[in-house]
Order: sequence, then C-alpha cells, then structure tokens
Amino acid sequence: MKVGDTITLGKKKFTVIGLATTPLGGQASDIYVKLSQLQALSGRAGRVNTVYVRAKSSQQVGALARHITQTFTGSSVTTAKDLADRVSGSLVDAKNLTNKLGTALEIVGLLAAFLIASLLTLASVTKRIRELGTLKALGWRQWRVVRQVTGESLLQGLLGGALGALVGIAGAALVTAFAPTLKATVAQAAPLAFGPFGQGAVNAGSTAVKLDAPVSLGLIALAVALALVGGLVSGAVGGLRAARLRPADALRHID
Amino acid sequence: MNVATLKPQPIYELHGISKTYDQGANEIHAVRDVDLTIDEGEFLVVVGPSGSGKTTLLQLLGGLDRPTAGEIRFEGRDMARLKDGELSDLRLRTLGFIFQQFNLIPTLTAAQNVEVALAPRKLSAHARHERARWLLESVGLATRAHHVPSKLSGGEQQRVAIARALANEPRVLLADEPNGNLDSTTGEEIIQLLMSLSAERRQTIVVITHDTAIAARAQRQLRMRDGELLPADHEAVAFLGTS
Ligand SMILES: Nc1ncnc2c1ncn2[C@@H]1O[C@H](COP(=O)(O)OP(=O)(O)OP(=O)(O)O)[C@@H](O)[C@H]1O
Ligand SMILES: [Mg+2]
Repeated sequence: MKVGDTITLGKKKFTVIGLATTPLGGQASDIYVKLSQLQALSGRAGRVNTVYVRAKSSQQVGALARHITQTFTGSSVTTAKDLADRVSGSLVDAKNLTNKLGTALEIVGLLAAFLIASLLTLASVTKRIRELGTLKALGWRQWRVVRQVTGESLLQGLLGGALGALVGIAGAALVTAFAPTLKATVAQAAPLAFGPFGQGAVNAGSTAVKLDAPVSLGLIALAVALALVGGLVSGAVGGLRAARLRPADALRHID
Repeated sequence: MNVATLKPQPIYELHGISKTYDQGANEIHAVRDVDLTIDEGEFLVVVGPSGSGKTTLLQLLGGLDRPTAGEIRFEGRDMARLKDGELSDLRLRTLGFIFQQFNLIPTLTAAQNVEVALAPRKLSAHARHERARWLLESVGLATRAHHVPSKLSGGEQQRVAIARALANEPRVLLADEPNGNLDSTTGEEIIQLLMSLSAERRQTIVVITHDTAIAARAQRQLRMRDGELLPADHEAVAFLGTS
C-alpha cells in the first residue's frame, strides 16, 4: 500500500493520502478517516463514543469531570487519576500479598521452633526411659527425675530455639534473595475511538513489588521462647511419664 | 558365741509371692507362690534356667516392681504399704543394685556415674567427689574416674556399677547376673570383688548367676524353675551355716 492507492470502505472509495506509523506501546487504528465521513458511513451522524479532554491544570480535573458528566447525560468520565488509582490499587494488593506471605512464614517458623523443640525433647526422653528407670532404682524420687529431665530439656529447648531461629533467618534470606518480583499490571485504557486521536492515551502501567520476608529480633525471641516452652512442657510431660513407671518396666524398656 | 550370732534376724520374709503378667489371652506366671526368708548378712545365689523368674524375683525384692499376690516384709515392714516415693527412699538408703547390662549413664564419667547414686543425699559437692573417688579406688578404677563408659571395658564398666551400688553403703546388695556379660575370668574377678566387699561390710547379698562354679561357693543356693522356688539344698546349707 502506498500513497495514491484507493481502498473501498463500506462501498465508498477512499484515496490513501498518507501512511501513519504506529506509536510504540499504544494501540493504533488500521485506517484513519475524517470523522464526518466515518459518521455518515456508519449511519451515526453527529455521534462519537470517546472524547479525550485535556484540562488546563491538574487542579481542574475533578471539576471538569463533574461538568462533563452533567453536560453529557449518560456519559462516563475516566480521569488519569482513576487510572493511577487502579495502578496503585493493584500495587497495594501486591504489598498485602507479601505481608500475608511474611505472616505465614512467621507462623510456620514459630510452629517449627515449637515442634522441633517438643519432638526433640520427647524423642530424647523416650530414648532415655531405661536411664530414668536406673535413676529411680538408685533411689531418685519421681520429682527429682522430672526435675532433671525438665532442666535438661530447657537446654535442649534453647538449642531447638536457636536452630529454629537460624532456619527462620535462612528461610527469609532465601525468599528475599530468590523470590520472584510481583508485578502489578493495570488493564489497558482501551481507546475505542475511530478518529485522529485514537491512540491509547494512557499506556499500561506496571510497577514491581519485591517480595521480601523481614525477620525481626522480636520474632526470633518469640521463636526461642516458644521452643523453650515446647521443650519444657514436653520434657516435663515425658519425664513425668517415664518417672511414674515402675523401675522394672522402665528398665525393661527397649529403645 | 552368743544367741544373736547363732540366730540372725531375717531381713526379708516372703509369703506366697506371685507375679503374673497379663498378656492378652494367656497369663504368664513369672513367679509362683514363693515363700522365702533371707537372713541379715547372707550371701545368697539364685540359679535357674532362662525365663524361670529370677530377675522378676530380684526386682520384687528391690521394690522395683510389686507382686500380684503375697506379702514381702523388709525388716518387718510390709513393702506393699510403701508408696512409690517411699520405695525410692528405701532403695536410696538401704539397697544397692547391679545389673547384667551395667546400666551406666553413657554421657557421664565413671566418677559422675557413682555420684548419681549420691545425688539425692545432703552432701557437699566436695564430699560427693571424695566419696566417688574413694569408691572407684576400692574397685581398682582410680585411674579411670574421668572416662565415660564407652571408653571402658566391660569388666571396668561393671566395676563402676559396683562402686555405684556401694555408694550408699547398702545393707542389701541385689545383683542380676553381674558376670553375665563378661568373660569367665573377668566375671570371676567381679564375683570375688563382690564377695570380699560384702565380707568387709557384712552385707546381705543376693546374686543371680548362671555360673555353677560361683553358685557352688555360695553360702546358700536358691533354685528356680517355672517361677517356683525348688526346696533343694536349703536344709543342707542351713546345717553347714550353723556348724
Ligand atoms: N513385662 C513382662 N511382660 C510379660 N512377661 C514378662 C515380663 N517380664 C518378664 N516376663 C516373663 O516372665 C518370665 C520370667 O522372666 P525373668 O526375666 O524373671 O526370667 P529370668 O529367670 O531372669 O530369665 P533370664 O535368665 O533369661 O534372665 C519369662 O517367661 C518372661 O518372658
Ligand atoms: Mg534375668
């Protein structure tokens, strides 16, 4: 196609008077014709579906939008601010998502600290039932056995807590280092108009939100505390269970 | 010789002692209707085939388990009336145990293992250390005090266990196959050690063993079969004992 060719549109012949370059990143029409001719051609004389309006200053945008809505009944006005809101709206969503992810990681970390400490302690107490039976055979009373086990599980709880904290910190660091960047993409403001200004005036906006999992000292302290509680409780419970056994049964225990 | 030495006081009196394990459908009679009197200062050996109830009987004597029927009197007291904590106290002050598996605490040194038996006592740390050191010396292990059990031979481990059992100066020593996990020479040494220590302390000793040579040397031999005590040599030994 070149200047001077003729093309037929709705049974009418048009001569090509120039070729337009498609703007990068926007949407362009295939053919540009005079508005009045297009209106006549489509049987919609005097009608348009989109009008781009530029306000003199940003302060006037609100008033102008209201004025247009009042003047042209049935019309809807989309301002640049609306578009901007839609963009940042999805950015807020993305931010929420990362926050939720962070919270989930925190809960998982805390649970892990608690469970690791509890399970380590329970396992070690179960493995030591014979040992605890020996202590009773040597004349230790129940409470002394429980106290011993609980004291030791306090240490183990600290260990479990430190381990849990390390896992938490490492996990968060990994997430921060390798997590995919979340993209908030705004739906295209689709220019529907035929006409000389028919390119998309607002391009699709996209803003990156980096996923990160912040680890606070408070969180680590909470994890260690939970691990301690887990170790203490399971130490006391497991210790009591073992200490209540008759020594004969504890000594016969196979671990 | 006065009357007291001729007629020693019984330290244990067992009447109709039975221990039955409930194994679902069938019951296991580990010990059946045992009557037994053990005098203070006796060295008693229990023999019998595997599964005849020797360990079960020893555990009943030590208050490590309770009989399903019958009465055990220790120094006149009915052991069934003692609560769990009181049985612990009895073991702490009066009884010593030696196990076939040694049952040392693997994470503690020889000295610490001995001190475990002293832990419930009101002793200063220094007194505990000193006593443990002295006990290890008396079983010939002074130089091994700071070794953990895994660094000791079987015979050495059993010596630690003996030192631990003697820590509270028990009036009664209960030993379940103390030589069972040792070669015969080492086992013999362990038994010799037990006998000489008990002779010094005038302890009552009950030893389970499979070793007939050791059993033959005992003052008195109890034979068990299927949970029952065979009357056997009791009279003859009693005669020997008073001669
Ligand atoms: N906790 C238990 N539950 C069920 N049966 C048991 C239990 N402890 C012991 N028994 C049974 O009681 C019987 C006597 O066991 P015990 O350990 O007293 O024998 P033992 O004479 O010491 O044997 P060994 O010479 O092999 O040590 C055995 O048949 C054993 O299987
Ligand atoms: Mg046995």
